[in-house]
Amino acid sequence: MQEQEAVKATQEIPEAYREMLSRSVTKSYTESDRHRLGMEPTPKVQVFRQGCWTLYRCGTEFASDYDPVLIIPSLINRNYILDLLPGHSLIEQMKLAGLDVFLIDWGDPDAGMGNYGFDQYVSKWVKRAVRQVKKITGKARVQLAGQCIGGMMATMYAAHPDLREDLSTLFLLTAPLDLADSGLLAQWTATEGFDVDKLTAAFQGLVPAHFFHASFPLLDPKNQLAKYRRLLENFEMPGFKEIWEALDIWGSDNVDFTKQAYTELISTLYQENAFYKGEYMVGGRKVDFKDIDVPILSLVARDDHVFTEKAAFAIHECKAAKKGRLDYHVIPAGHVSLIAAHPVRVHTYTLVREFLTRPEQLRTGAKKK
Amino acid sequence: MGEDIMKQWAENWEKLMGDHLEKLVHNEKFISEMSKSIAATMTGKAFYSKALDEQMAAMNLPSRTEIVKILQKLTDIEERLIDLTERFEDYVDAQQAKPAVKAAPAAEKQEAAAPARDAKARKQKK
Repeated sequence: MQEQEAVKATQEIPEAYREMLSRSVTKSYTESDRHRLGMEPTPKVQVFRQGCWTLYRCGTEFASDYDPVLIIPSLINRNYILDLLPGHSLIEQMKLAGLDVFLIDWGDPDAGMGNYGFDQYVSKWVKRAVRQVKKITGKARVQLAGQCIGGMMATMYAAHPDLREDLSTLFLLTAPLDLADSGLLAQWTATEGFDVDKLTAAFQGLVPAHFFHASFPLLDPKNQLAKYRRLLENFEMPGFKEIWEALDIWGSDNVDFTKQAYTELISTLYQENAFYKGEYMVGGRKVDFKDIDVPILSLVARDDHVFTEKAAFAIHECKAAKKGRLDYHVIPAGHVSLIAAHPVRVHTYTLVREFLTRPEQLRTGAKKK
Repeated sequence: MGEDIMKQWAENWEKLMGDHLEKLVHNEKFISEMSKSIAATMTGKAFYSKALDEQMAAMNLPSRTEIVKILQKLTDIEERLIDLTERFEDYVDAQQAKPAVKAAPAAEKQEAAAPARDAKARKQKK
Protein backbone atom coordinates (compact mmCIF):
# COMPACT_ATOMS: atom_id res chain seq x y z
CA MET A 1 0.00 0.00 0.00
CA GLN A 2 2.72 2.40 1.03
CA GLU A 3 4.70 1.44 -2.07
CA GLN A 4 1.72 2.17 -4.32
CA GLU A 5 1.28 5.58 -2.73
CA ALA A 6 4.95 6.34 -3.14
CA VAL A 7 4.75 5.40 -6.83
CA LYS A 8 1.67 7.60 -7.22
CA ALA A 9 3.52 10.50 -5.61
CA THR A 10 6.41 10.00 -8.02
CA GLN A 11 3.97 10.11 -10.94
CA GLU A 12 2.62 13.43 -9.72
CA ILE A 13 5.98 15.15 -10.21
CA PRO A 14 5.54 17.72 -13.00
CA GLU A 15 6.77 16.68 -16.43
CA ALA A 16 8.60 19.99 -16.78
CA TYR A 17 10.58 19.13 -13.63
CA ARG A 18 11.56 15.75 -15.06
CA GLU A 19 12.78 17.45 -18.23
CA MET A 20 14.82 19.97 -16.28
CA LEU A 21 16.27 17.21 -14.15
CA SER A 22 17.24 15.24 -17.22
CA ARG A 23 18.93 18.25 -18.85
CA SER A 24 20.79 19.01 -15.64
CA VAL A 25 22.00 15.48 -14.93
CA THR A 26 23.13 14.83 -18.50
CA LYS A 27 24.37 18.43 -18.89
CA SER A 28 22.74 18.46 -22.30
CA TYR A 29 22.23 22.20 -22.43
CA THR A 30 22.28 23.90 -25.79
CA GLU A 31 22.46 27.45 -27.10
CA SER A 32 18.67 27.44 -27.44
CA ASP A 33 18.32 26.88 -23.67
CA ARG A 34 20.41 29.97 -23.03
CA HIS A 35 18.35 31.88 -25.57
CA ARG A 36 15.05 30.63 -24.11
CA LEU A 37 16.05 31.85 -20.66
CA GLY A 38 17.30 35.20 -21.97
CA MET A 39 20.79 34.75 -20.55
CA GLU A 40 23.42 37.47 -21.04
CA PRO A 41 20.84 40.23 -21.54
CA THR A 42 23.34 43.07 -22.01
CA PRO A 43 24.52 43.55 -25.61
CA LYS A 44 28.29 43.52 -26.05
CA VAL A 45 30.58 44.89 -28.72
CA GLN A 46 33.94 43.27 -29.36
CA VAL A 47 36.67 45.93 -29.16
CA PHE A 48 39.83 43.84 -29.03
CA ARG A 49 40.82 40.24 -29.53
CA GLN A 50 44.05 38.32 -29.05
CA GLY A 51 44.28 34.56 -29.31
CA CYS A 52 41.49 33.16 -27.20
CA TRP A 53 40.66 36.22 -25.12
CA THR A 54 38.41 39.07 -26.10
CA LEU A 55 37.63 42.49 -24.71
CA TYR A 56 34.00 43.57 -24.91
CA ARG A 57 32.32 46.90 -24.34
CA CYS A 58 28.94 46.37 -22.73
CA GLY A 59 25.67 48.04 -23.71
CA THR A 60 24.79 50.36 -26.56
CA GLU A 61 25.23 53.74 -24.86
CA PHE A 62 28.80 54.49 -23.89
CA ALA A 63 28.83 58.14 -22.81
CA SER A 64 29.71 58.32 -19.14
CA ASP A 65 30.83 60.89 -16.59
CA TYR A 66 32.80 58.31 -14.67
CA ASP A 67 36.05 56.48 -15.22
CA PRO A 68 35.38 53.35 -17.28
CA VAL A 69 35.05 50.03 -15.49
CA LEU A 70 37.07 47.03 -16.65
CA ILE A 71 35.92 43.68 -15.28
CA ILE A 72 38.29 40.73 -14.94
CA PRO A 73 36.26 37.56 -14.53
CA SER A 74 37.47 34.34 -12.98
CA LEU A 75 39.56 31.94 -15.02
CA ILE A 76 37.66 28.92 -13.77
CA ASN A 77 34.19 29.68 -15.14
CA ARG A 78 32.62 31.79 -17.85
CA ASN A 79 32.12 35.50 -17.38
CA TYR A 80 28.34 35.50 -17.95
CA ILE A 81 27.72 34.93 -14.26
CA LEU A 82 28.12 38.72 -14.17
CA ASP A 83 25.31 39.11 -16.69
CA LEU A 84 23.17 36.07 -16.04
CA LEU A 85 19.54 37.06 -16.56
CA PRO A 86 17.57 40.30 -16.69
CA GLY A 87 17.31 41.50 -13.10
CA HIS A 88 20.10 39.14 -12.11
CA SER A 89 22.94 40.96 -13.76
CA LEU A 90 25.68 43.04 -12.18
CA ILE A 91 26.65 44.44 -15.57
CA GLU A 92 23.06 45.50 -16.27
CA GLN A 93 23.08 47.41 -12.98
CA MET A 94 26.40 49.07 -13.78
CA LYS A 95 25.00 50.21 -17.11
CA LEU A 96 21.85 51.57 -15.43
CA ALA A 97 24.14 53.61 -13.19
CA GLY A 98 25.60 55.28 -16.30
CA LEU A 99 28.95 53.50 -16.28
CA ASP A 100 30.98 52.58 -19.34
CA VAL A 101 31.68 48.89 -18.74
CA PHE A 102 34.31 46.72 -20.39
CA LEU A 103 34.46 42.98 -19.85
CA ILE A 104 37.22 40.49 -20.54
CA ASP A 105 36.22 37.09 -21.85
CA TRP A 106 39.11 34.68 -21.31
CA GLY A 107 37.60 32.28 -23.84
CA ASP A 108 38.99 28.78 -24.27
CA PRO A 109 42.76 28.68 -23.99
CA ASP A 110 44.55 26.36 -26.40
CA ALA A 111 47.50 24.11 -25.78
CA GLY A 112 49.83 26.76 -27.22
CA MET A 113 49.14 28.90 -24.18
CA GLY A 114 50.20 26.19 -21.76
CA ASN A 115 53.31 28.06 -20.62
CA TYR A 116 51.34 31.17 -19.69
CA GLY A 117 50.58 31.70 -16.03
CA PHE A 118 49.17 34.52 -13.95
CA ASP A 119 52.15 36.72 -14.77
CA GLN A 120 51.21 36.65 -18.46
CA TYR A 121 47.53 37.18 -17.71
CA VAL A 122 48.17 40.22 -15.51
CA SER A 123 51.31 41.90 -16.85
CA LYS A 124 50.45 41.39 -20.51
CA TRP A 125 46.76 40.75 -21.11
CA VAL A 126 45.08 42.75 -18.36
CA LYS A 127 47.59 45.52 -19.07
CA ARG A 128 46.66 45.33 -22.75
CA ALA A 129 42.96 45.44 -21.90
CA VAL A 130 43.51 48.49 -19.67
CA ARG A 131 45.46 50.15 -22.49
CA GLN A 132 42.61 49.51 -24.92
CA VAL A 133 40.01 50.86 -22.49
CA LYS A 134 42.05 54.03 -21.94
CA LYS A 135 42.54 54.45 -25.65
CA ILE A 136 38.89 53.90 -26.55
CA THR A 137 37.45 56.12 -23.83
CA GLY A 138 40.18 58.74 -23.77
CA LYS A 139 40.21 58.53 -19.97
CA ALA A 140 43.52 58.42 -18.14
CA ARG A 141 42.41 55.96 -15.48
CA VAL A 142 40.25 52.91 -15.17
CA GLN A 143 38.16 51.42 -12.38
CA LEU A 144 39.35 47.82 -12.21
CA ALA A 145 36.97 45.13 -11.03
CA GLY A 146 37.69 41.46 -10.48
CA GLN A 147 35.63 38.47 -9.50
CA CYS A 148 37.00 35.45 -7.64
CA ILE A 149 40.42 34.57 -9.13
CA GLY A 150 39.89 37.58 -11.40
CA GLY A 151 39.76 39.64 -8.20
CA MET A 152 43.13 38.28 -7.20
CA MET A 153 44.45 39.23 -10.64
CA ALA A 154 42.98 42.73 -10.29
CA THR A 155 44.72 43.03 -6.92
CA MET A 156 48.02 41.97 -8.50
CA TYR A 157 47.56 44.71 -11.08
CA ALA A 158 46.69 47.33 -8.46
CA ALA A 159 49.73 46.32 -6.42
CA HIS A 160 52.19 46.40 -9.30
CA PRO A 161 54.54 49.41 -9.05
CA ASP A 162 54.52 50.02 -12.83
CA LEU A 163 50.84 49.40 -13.44
CA ARG A 164 48.96 50.84 -10.49
CA GLU A 165 48.97 54.37 -11.96
CA ASP A 166 46.35 53.21 -14.46
CA LEU A 167 43.71 52.75 -11.78
CA SER A 168 41.37 55.12 -10.01
CA THR A 169 39.57 52.46 -7.95
CA LEU A 170 39.61 48.73 -7.28
CA PHE A 171 36.46 46.66 -6.89
CA LEU A 172 36.88 43.12 -5.56
CA LEU A 173 34.12 40.58 -5.62
CA THR A 174 34.72 37.44 -3.53
CA ALA A 175 38.43 37.80 -4.20
CA PRO A 176 40.84 35.66 -2.18
CA LEU A 177 44.19 37.10 -1.09
CA ASP A 178 45.32 35.03 1.86
CA LEU A 179 44.95 31.43 0.79
CA ALA A 180 46.34 29.74 3.91
CA ASP A 181 43.51 27.99 5.78
CA SER A 182 41.06 29.56 3.37
CA GLY A 183 38.68 26.62 3.20
CA LEU A 184 38.41 23.14 1.86
CA LEU A 185 40.43 23.79 -1.30
CA ALA A 186 43.31 25.05 0.83
CA GLN A 187 43.00 21.97 3.04
CA TRP A 188 43.10 19.66 0.04
CA THR A 189 46.13 21.31 -1.51
CA ALA A 190 47.95 21.21 1.83
CA THR A 191 47.35 17.50 2.19
CA GLU A 192 50.33 15.18 2.09
CA GLY A 193 50.56 13.56 -1.33
CA PHE A 194 48.92 16.46 -3.19
CA ASP A 195 51.71 16.91 -5.74
CA VAL A 196 50.58 19.22 -8.52
CA ASP A 197 53.44 18.23 -10.85
CA LYS A 198 52.47 14.59 -10.67
CA LEU A 199 48.78 15.40 -10.97
CA THR A 200 49.31 17.34 -14.18
CA ALA A 201 52.18 15.26 -15.61
CA ALA A 202 50.03 13.78 -18.33
CA PHE A 203 48.58 17.05 -19.59
CA GLN A 204 50.16 18.92 -22.46
CA GLY A 205 49.48 22.63 -22.41
CA LEU A 206 46.10 22.51 -20.76
CA VAL A 207 44.54 21.04 -17.67
CA PRO A 208 41.09 19.98 -18.84
CA ALA A 209 38.09 21.53 -17.12
CA HIS A 210 36.59 18.14 -16.25
CA PHE A 211 39.75 17.27 -14.30
CA PHE A 212 39.46 19.97 -11.66
CA HIS A 213 35.73 20.57 -11.90
CA ALA A 214 35.10 17.01 -10.78
CA SER A 215 36.12 18.14 -7.31
CA PHE A 216 33.93 21.26 -7.22
CA PRO A 217 30.66 19.60 -6.16
CA LEU A 218 32.59 18.12 -3.23
CA LEU A 219 33.28 21.59 -1.86
CA ASP A 220 29.68 21.79 -0.75
CA PRO A 221 28.23 18.26 -0.88
CA LYS A 222 25.10 19.01 1.17
CA ASN A 223 24.13 21.81 -1.15
CA GLN A 224 24.69 19.58 -4.17
CA LEU A 225 22.41 16.92 -2.75
CA ALA A 226 19.71 19.43 -1.88
CA LYS A 227 19.73 21.15 -5.23
CA TYR A 228 17.13 18.98 -7.03
CA ARG A 229 14.89 18.84 -3.95
CA ARG A 230 14.96 22.62 -3.72
CA LEU A 231 14.00 22.86 -7.37
CA LEU A 232 10.99 20.61 -6.81
CA GLU A 233 9.91 22.43 -3.67
CA ASN A 234 10.07 25.83 -5.34
CA PHE A 235 9.01 24.75 -8.79
CA GLU A 236 5.89 26.88 -8.86
CA MET A 237 7.58 29.94 -7.41
CA PRO A 238 7.69 32.63 -10.14
CA GLY A 239 11.18 32.99 -11.60
CA PHE A 240 12.77 30.26 -9.48
CA LYS A 241 13.23 27.60 -12.13
CA GLU A 242 14.63 30.11 -14.62
CA ILE A 243 17.36 31.28 -12.24
CA TRP A 244 17.99 27.71 -11.10
CA GLU A 245 18.50 26.53 -14.65
CA ALA A 246 20.60 29.55 -15.66
CA LEU A 247 22.91 28.89 -12.71
CA ASP A 248 23.06 25.21 -13.58
CA ILE A 249 24.00 26.02 -17.18
CA TRP A 250 26.71 28.36 -15.97
CA GLY A 251 27.98 25.82 -13.43
CA SER A 252 28.34 23.15 -16.07
CA ASP A 253 29.98 25.41 -18.64
CA ASN A 254 33.58 25.01 -17.55
CA VAL A 255 36.85 26.19 -18.99
CA ASP A 256 40.23 24.50 -19.36
CA PHE A 257 43.14 26.00 -17.40
CA THR A 258 46.55 26.63 -18.89
CA LYS A 259 48.91 24.19 -17.26
CA GLN A 260 51.17 26.94 -15.95
CA ALA A 261 48.28 28.89 -14.40
CA TYR A 262 46.95 25.74 -12.75
CA THR A 263 50.35 24.81 -11.36
CA GLU A 264 50.89 28.34 -10.04
CA LEU A 265 47.44 28.46 -8.49
CA ILE A 266 48.02 25.25 -6.57
CA SER A 267 51.69 25.40 -5.71
CA THR A 268 52.62 29.09 -5.58
CA LEU A 269 49.36 30.71 -4.57
CA TYR A 270 47.77 28.00 -2.42
CA GLN A 271 50.60 25.91 -1.01
CA GLU A 272 53.18 28.71 -0.66
CA ASN A 273 50.63 31.51 -0.23
CA ALA A 274 53.16 33.64 -2.12
CA PHE A 275 50.84 36.47 -3.11
CA TYR A 276 49.75 37.14 0.45
CA LYS A 277 53.38 37.08 1.57
CA GLY A 278 54.30 39.64 -1.10
CA GLU A 279 56.62 37.20 -2.84
CA TYR A 280 54.69 36.71 -6.05
CA MET A 281 56.35 38.10 -9.20
CA VAL A 282 54.40 39.85 -11.95
CA GLY A 283 56.23 41.31 -14.93
CA GLY A 284 59.57 40.70 -13.25
CA ARG A 285 58.66 42.57 -10.06
CA LYS A 286 57.36 41.49 -6.70
CA VAL A 287 53.81 42.59 -6.01
CA ASP A 288 52.63 43.30 -2.52
CA PHE A 289 48.93 44.03 -2.11
CA LYS A 290 49.73 45.91 1.09
CA ASP A 291 50.99 48.75 -1.16
CA ILE A 292 47.60 49.35 -2.75
CA ASP A 293 46.52 52.91 -2.16
CA VAL A 294 43.49 53.41 -4.43
CA PRO A 295 39.96 53.36 -3.00
CA ILE A 296 38.71 49.79 -2.72
CA LEU A 297 35.33 48.12 -2.56
CA SER A 298 35.57 44.53 -1.37
CA LEU A 299 32.44 42.39 -1.29
CA VAL A 300 32.65 39.05 0.43
CA ALA A 301 30.10 36.23 0.60
CA ARG A 302 29.41 35.06 4.13
CA ASP A 303 28.41 31.56 2.99
CA ASP A 304 31.16 31.20 0.39
CA HIS A 305 32.02 27.52 -0.15
CA VAL A 306 35.08 28.29 -2.28
CA PHE A 307 36.98 30.65 0.04
CA THR A 308 36.33 31.56 3.64
CA GLU A 309 35.97 35.21 4.61
CA LYS A 310 39.50 35.14 6.03
CA ALA A 311 40.91 34.90 2.49
CA ALA A 312 39.35 38.24 1.54
CA PHE A 313 39.70 39.95 4.91
CA ALA A 314 43.43 40.32 4.29
CA ILE A 315 42.66 43.39 2.18
CA HIS A 316 42.43 45.29 5.49
CA GLU A 317 46.23 45.14 5.62
CA CYS A 318 46.71 47.43 2.62
CA LYS A 319 47.56 51.15 2.71
CA ALA A 320 44.15 52.19 1.40
CA ALA A 321 42.41 50.44 4.29
CA LYS A 322 44.63 52.19 6.80
CA LYS A 323 43.67 55.53 5.25
CA GLY A 324 39.95 54.72 5.46
CA ARG A 325 39.61 54.15 1.74
CA LEU A 326 38.32 50.60 1.97
CA ASP A 327 34.62 49.76 1.77
CA TYR A 328 34.35 46.19 3.02
CA HIS A 329 31.05 44.33 3.20
CA VAL A 330 30.18 40.77 4.09
CA ILE A 331 27.00 39.82 2.27
CA PRO A 332 24.83 37.04 3.71
CA ALA A 333 24.86 34.93 0.53
CA GLY A 334 26.99 32.41 -1.40
CA HIS A 335 29.97 32.77 -3.74
CA VAL A 336 27.88 33.67 -6.79
CA SER A 337 24.41 34.12 -5.34
CA LEU A 338 25.44 37.49 -3.89
CA ILE A 339 25.40 38.90 -7.42
CA ALA A 340 23.18 36.54 -9.36
CA ALA A 341 20.46 34.85 -7.38
CA HIS A 342 19.76 35.64 -3.76
CA PRO A 343 17.35 38.54 -3.05
CA VAL A 344 20.28 40.18 -1.24
CA ARG A 345 21.85 40.80 -4.64
CA VAL A 346 19.84 44.05 -4.77
CA HIS A 347 21.90 45.26 -1.80
CA THR A 348 25.09 44.18 -3.60
CA TYR A 349 24.06 46.15 -6.69
CA THR A 350 23.42 49.26 -4.59
CA LEU A 351 26.87 49.04 -2.97
CA VAL A 352 28.56 48.59 -6.35
CA ARG A 353 26.71 51.43 -8.06
CA GLU A 354 27.29 53.76 -5.14
CA PHE A 355 31.03 53.03 -5.04
CA LEU A 356 31.73 53.19 -8.77
CA THR A 357 29.85 56.47 -9.22
CA ARG A 358 31.17 58.11 -6.06
CA PRO A 359 32.74 61.52 -6.68
CA GLU A 360 36.54 61.65 -6.43
CA GLN A 361 36.57 63.87 -3.32
CA LEU A 362 34.48 61.34 -1.39
CA ARG A 363 36.89 58.55 -2.19
CA THR A 364 39.62 59.86 0.02
CA GLY A 365 38.05 58.67 3.22
CA ALA A 366 35.74 61.64 3.68
CA LYS A 367 32.76 59.30 3.48
CA LYS A 368 33.92 57.47 6.57
CA LYS A 369 34.05 60.68 8.58
CA MET B 1 0.35 10.28 2.37
CA GLY B 2 2.44 8.91 -0.51
CA GLU B 3 3.97 12.32 -0.93
CA ASP B 4 4.91 12.40 2.75
CA ILE B 5 6.61 9.02 2.54
CA MET B 6 8.60 10.11 -0.50
CA LYS B 7 9.53 13.38 1.15
CA GLN B 8 10.64 11.72 4.35
CA TRP B 9 12.63 9.09 2.49
CA ALA B 10 14.34 11.77 0.38
CA GLU B 11 15.10 13.91 3.42
CA ASN B 12 16.61 10.98 5.31
CA TRP B 13 18.71 9.96 2.35
CA GLU B 14 19.88 13.53 1.78
CA LYS B 15 20.87 13.99 5.40
CA LEU B 16 22.67 10.68 5.62
CA MET B 17 24.58 11.15 2.38
CA GLY B 18 25.31 14.79 3.18
CA ASP B 19 26.81 13.99 6.55
CA HIS B 20 28.81 11.12 5.14
CA LEU B 21 30.22 13.15 2.24
CA GLU B 22 30.95 16.11 4.48
CA LYS B 23 33.05 13.88 6.74
CA LEU B 24 34.76 12.31 3.78
CA VAL B 25 35.85 15.55 2.10
CA HIS B 26 37.32 16.78 5.37
CA ASN B 27 39.15 13.54 6.04
CA GLU B 28 42.87 14.09 5.44
CA LYS B 29 43.60 10.43 4.96
CA PHE B 30 40.90 10.11 2.30
CA ILE B 31 42.15 13.23 0.46
CA SER B 32 45.74 12.07 0.66
CA GLU B 33 44.90 8.62 -0.72
CA MET B 34 42.74 10.13 -3.46
CA SER B 35 45.56 12.50 -4.47
CA LYS B 36 48.08 9.69 -4.55
CA SER B 37 45.76 7.52 -6.58
CA ILE B 38 45.09 10.28 -9.15
CA ALA B 39 48.82 11.11 -9.28
CA ALA B 40 49.62 7.44 -9.97
CA THR B 41 47.03 7.32 -12.77
CA MET B 42 48.40 10.52 -14.26
CA THR B 43 52.00 9.31 -14.07
CA GLY B 44 50.90 6.19 -15.95
CA LYS B 45 49.12 8.32 -18.54
CA ALA B 46 52.23 10.47 -18.97
CA PHE B 47 54.36 7.36 -19.46
CA TYR B 48 51.93 6.08 -22.09
CA SER B 49 51.93 9.45 -23.89
CA LYS B 50 55.74 9.41 -23.97
CA ALA B 51 55.76 5.91 -25.43
CA LEU B 52 53.27 7.03 -28.06
CA ASP B 53 55.48 10.03 -28.92
CA GLU B 54 58.41 7.68 -29.47
CA GLN B 55 56.35 5.47 -31.73
CA MET B 56 55.27 8.47 -33.78
CA ALA B 57 58.89 9.61 -34.05
CA ALA B 58 59.88 6.12 -35.22
CA MET B 59 57.31 6.45 -38.00
CA ASN B 60 58.67 9.88 -38.84
CA LEU B 61 55.38 11.50 -37.89
CA PRO B 62 54.91 14.54 -35.67
CA SER B 63 53.64 13.73 -32.21
CA ARG B 64 51.13 15.74 -30.18
CA THR B 65 54.00 17.01 -28.02
CA GLU B 66 55.71 18.45 -31.09
CA ILE B 67 52.49 20.01 -32.38
CA VAL B 68 51.89 21.62 -28.98
CA LYS B 69 55.46 23.00 -29.07
CA ILE B 70 54.81 24.55 -32.50
CA LEU B 71 51.55 26.00 -31.23
CA GLN B 72 53.39 27.50 -28.25
CA LYS B 73 55.93 29.11 -30.59
CA LEU B 74 53.15 30.56 -32.74
CA THR B 75 51.42 31.93 -29.65
CA ASP B 76 54.71 33.51 -28.52
CA ILE B 77 55.19 35.08 -31.95
CA GLU B 78 51.66 36.50 -31.88
CA GLU B 79 52.33 37.90 -28.42
CA ARG B 80 55.55 39.59 -29.56
CA LEU B 81 53.87 40.92 -32.66
CA ILE B 82 51.13 42.60 -30.63
CA ASP B 83 53.78 43.90 -28.24
CA LEU B 84 55.65 45.49 -31.14
CA THR B 85 52.44 46.89 -32.63
CA GLU B 86 51.62 48.54 -29.31
CA ARG B 87 55.10 49.99 -29.00
CA PHE B 88 54.84 51.34 -32.52
CA GLU B 89 51.41 52.83 -31.77
CA ASP B 90 52.79 54.44 -28.62
CA TYR B 91 55.68 55.86 -30.63
CA VAL B 92 53.32 57.26 -33.28
CA ASP B 93 51.08 58.75 -30.57
CA ALA B 94 54.11 60.36 -28.98
CA GLN B 95 55.22 61.76 -32.34
CA GLN B 96 51.74 63.10 -33.04
CA ALA B 97 51.72 64.81 -29.68
CA LYS B 98 55.02 66.55 -30.54
CA PRO B 99 54.11 68.38 -33.83
CA ALA B 100 52.61 71.29 -31.93
CA VAL B 101 56.11 72.04 -30.71
CA LYS B 102 58.09 70.89 -33.73
CA ALA B 103 55.79 71.94 -36.55
CA ALA B 104 56.07 75.62 -35.76
CA PRO B 105 59.84 75.97 -36.41
CA ALA B 106 59.49 73.75 -39.47
CA ALA B 107 56.78 75.98 -40.93
CA GLU B 108 58.88 79.09 -40.19
CA LYS B 109 61.83 77.51 -41.98
CA GLN B 110 59.66 76.74 -44.99
CA GLU B 111 58.36 80.30 -45.09
CA ALA B 112 61.89 81.67 -44.83
CA ALA B 113 63.01 79.45 -47.69
CA ALA B 114 60.10 80.50 -49.90
CA PRO B 115 61.59 83.81 -51.34
CA ALA B 116 64.85 82.09 -52.24
CA ARG B 117 62.91 79.22 -53.85
CA ASP B 118 60.81 81.71 -55.84
CA ALA B 119 63.92 83.56 -57.00
CA LYS B 120 65.47 80.29 -58.13
CA ALA B 121 62.28 79.38 -60.02
CA ARG B 122 62.24 82.78 -61.76
CA LYS B 123 65.89 82.34 -62.75
CA GLN B 124 65.17 78.91 -64.21
CA LYS B 125 62.27 80.36 -66.23
CA LYS B 126 64.53 82.99 -67.71
